[in-house]
Amino acid sequence: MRRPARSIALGGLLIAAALGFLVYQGLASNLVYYITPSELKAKGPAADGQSFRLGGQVRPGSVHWNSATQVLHFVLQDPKAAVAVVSRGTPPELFRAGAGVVVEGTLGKSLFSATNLMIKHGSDYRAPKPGQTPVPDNSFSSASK
Amino acid sequence: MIAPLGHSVILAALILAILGSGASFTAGRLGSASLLAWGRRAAFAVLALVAAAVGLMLVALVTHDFSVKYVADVGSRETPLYYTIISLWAALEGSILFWAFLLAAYTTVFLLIYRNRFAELQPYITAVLLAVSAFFLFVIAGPGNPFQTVSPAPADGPGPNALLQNHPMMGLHPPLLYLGYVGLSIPFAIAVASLLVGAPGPSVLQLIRRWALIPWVFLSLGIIAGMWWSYAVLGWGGYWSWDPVENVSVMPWLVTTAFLHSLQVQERRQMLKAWTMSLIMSAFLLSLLGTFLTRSGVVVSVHSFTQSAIGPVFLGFLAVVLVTSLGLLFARSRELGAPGSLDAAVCRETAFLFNNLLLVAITFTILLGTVFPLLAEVLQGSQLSVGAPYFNHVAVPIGFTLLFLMGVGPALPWGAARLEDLQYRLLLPVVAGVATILILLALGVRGVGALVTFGAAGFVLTVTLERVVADIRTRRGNTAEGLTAATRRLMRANPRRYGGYLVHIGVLLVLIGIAASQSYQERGSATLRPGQSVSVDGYTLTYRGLRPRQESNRMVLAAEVGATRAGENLGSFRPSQNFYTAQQLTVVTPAVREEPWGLAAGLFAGRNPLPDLSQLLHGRNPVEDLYLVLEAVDTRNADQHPQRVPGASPRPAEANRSITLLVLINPMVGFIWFGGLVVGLGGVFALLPARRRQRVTVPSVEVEGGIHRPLQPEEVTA
Repeated sequence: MRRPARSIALGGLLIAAALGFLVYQGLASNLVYYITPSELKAKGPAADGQSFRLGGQVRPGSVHWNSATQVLHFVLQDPKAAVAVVSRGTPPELFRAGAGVVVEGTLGKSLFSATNLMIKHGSDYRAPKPGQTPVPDNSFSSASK
Repeated sequence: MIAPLGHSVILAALILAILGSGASFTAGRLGSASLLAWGRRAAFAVLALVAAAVGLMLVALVTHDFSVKYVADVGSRETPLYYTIISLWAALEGSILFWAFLLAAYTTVFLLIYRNRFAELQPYITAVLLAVSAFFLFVIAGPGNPFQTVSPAPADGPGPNALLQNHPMMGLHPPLLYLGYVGLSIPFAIAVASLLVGAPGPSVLQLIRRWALIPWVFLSLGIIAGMWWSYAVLGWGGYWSWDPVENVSVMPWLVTTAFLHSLQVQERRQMLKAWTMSLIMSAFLLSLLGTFLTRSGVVVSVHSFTQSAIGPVFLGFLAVVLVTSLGLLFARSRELGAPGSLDAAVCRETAFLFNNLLLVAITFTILLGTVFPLLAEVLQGSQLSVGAPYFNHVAVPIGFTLLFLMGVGPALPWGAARLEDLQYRLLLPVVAGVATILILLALGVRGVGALVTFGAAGFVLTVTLERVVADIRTRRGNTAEGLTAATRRLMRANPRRYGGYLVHIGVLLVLIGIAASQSYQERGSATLRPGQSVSVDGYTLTYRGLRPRQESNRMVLAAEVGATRAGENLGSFRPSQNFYTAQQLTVVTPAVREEPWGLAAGLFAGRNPLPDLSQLLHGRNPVEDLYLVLEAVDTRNADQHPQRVPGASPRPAEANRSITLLVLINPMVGFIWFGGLVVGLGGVFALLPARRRQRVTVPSVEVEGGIHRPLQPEEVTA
């Protein structure tokens, strides 16, 4: 093997190694699991501090909105379990008791802090992120980014 | 009536495409000119039939013929005419029909232009293009049939997705992207044909380059148009969120970019032939994969994959294309072997090589992040998503390296670089880059990522300009022409090179725009009653009242907001919430003081169009967007959150309701739109044929097959 080819192969290997590291590190810390409140409860204390996308129903009577501080408290439930959620900013137009909601955020001390709150319109589970070029059966509207 | 007619037209086109493809292939095997003529006629007939089908679909949409399934899915009597017409590509079936139409049009244009050239390849190119057409027509005829009859026909439909009828850009962005995706089938067909015949020679590679550059320009413009659409419609103040639909558009672009670079190494040094061919074939594969991912619903969930036959059919076709490509490359591996070899580790070739590795690396990581959720669901059964931070985490470092190479590459000579040459060529650019950073630091600009980008941009820009100046000097030294004449003729003589430089400058502008807007965005949010103001980052915004209006398809609640900055009146803005009655969906329309569009508009209003550079001295950005989003309108009163009746449309609001206004200051976003335009222009310039004149005595060398190219300055001195 000639010298230039060798140094280039070396460079290629270095790039591949750096890339592998970046990808591994990036994936390891940025996977967001879609779960329900019962699945979250089943995880127990291990789930503390982790990021999730949580889907469920807004428990009627649990909504507290403070327009002065712009803080929203509510309970997200499924048939078996419930999780208290706190979110900042005005909730989306269709947010109401009983609505299907998906929240993105982290769990801390049994309170789920949502950074993003989306309304589920259909029976569909997933939400497009803001910025998505809509697919035809897009059935979500998105709130604060 | 339209539905069965449309379906028969598609079936006829499908049969013709299959027969034509078979005839053309056989024509290639037997060398039969008459069979090939039939293949060509079939291709033209397919275009006529698919155009007729598109025409029928448009008639059905415009006349609200809800007995046609596609119209029943996306049509509505209330939708304005413009959005009714462009709902041709608002959903799956229509966009595949549109795709087939563009493919047939590309095929016909190509066959007409190259009627008497590349005789050996013609039959196979025709066969491959018709085969791809046949696949899409099969999807339209069967699993994704837009012409299904709905009986009884509904009286009205839901209309297109609310987001798709919220901004006129929707008429431009998808066609641009599709022209890019579909156009990649032409270089793919040429590549396959040339591999079937042997190994591609220089003239065939030129042909592939030309037909790869065309979709590349469309893809570039389409991606930028998509960012603009996202920015102007979705109301979150950003333009890119690493969504699968976005990722899928950028992957073929990256790979085609890699191809356009590796092709130069292959031309100069007869190296990387197999690699170059794989790149252009992968670009087509990625555009198919993108269509599959976004159109089969598989991105939403693996489960939706099985609900429609489109997914499996697409996956099958992808597999066929992949296996064919790999098989051909493997079969020709001997012919594709490299006669050339590297002379040194530091030279233009290696810069291109690393550029290629990095572009492919970015593509791979984006692909991995996009399909990872699918893999996880299939293998592990868990539903998850890969967050946008993953993509930033991986793409930003690779992007910086590419940016650096974009500067070093043009400064490096082919062959082997001499250290003192390199020092001489890079001295000024490095000084310029460092000076950029220092000046910006002195002006109070902070933030490592953005500063590094600006510095690198200064470096790359200086290298590029220095190269152009050096070329002009060399030419003037050889020809004794005047400065403008020399510049013009130089550009005309080598449009590829200077088009490429222009593209680089466009990319720099885009990157500057991205770095600035990502690093220096300011935001504020407030709930306001009429007459109240909020101040964000030097801007004062006064809410003047709600201006509701009813349109045919939607109820628009616009908030009138006056904006001033440092006493200067910036005019009145109307961010709105639009409630689409048919879908029961609210979509916001942000009000954007778009730069440089705002500047252009201001010019007509008699304002000074130039950015106020004195702002820099106050540590302020002279080019920035004021971006207002009407986040919420209080329909009852300010203290309780809405207990709205489900499904009820908002009552016509009195003008004095309070609103929640989100204010974003996005610096230099206009650079992205403007830079995108420059990229497109550079691509178009690079498509121009090189102009050669007898009188001009540019030293040139014969490349291969009688084609001459001008001698590069570094070769003159060498």
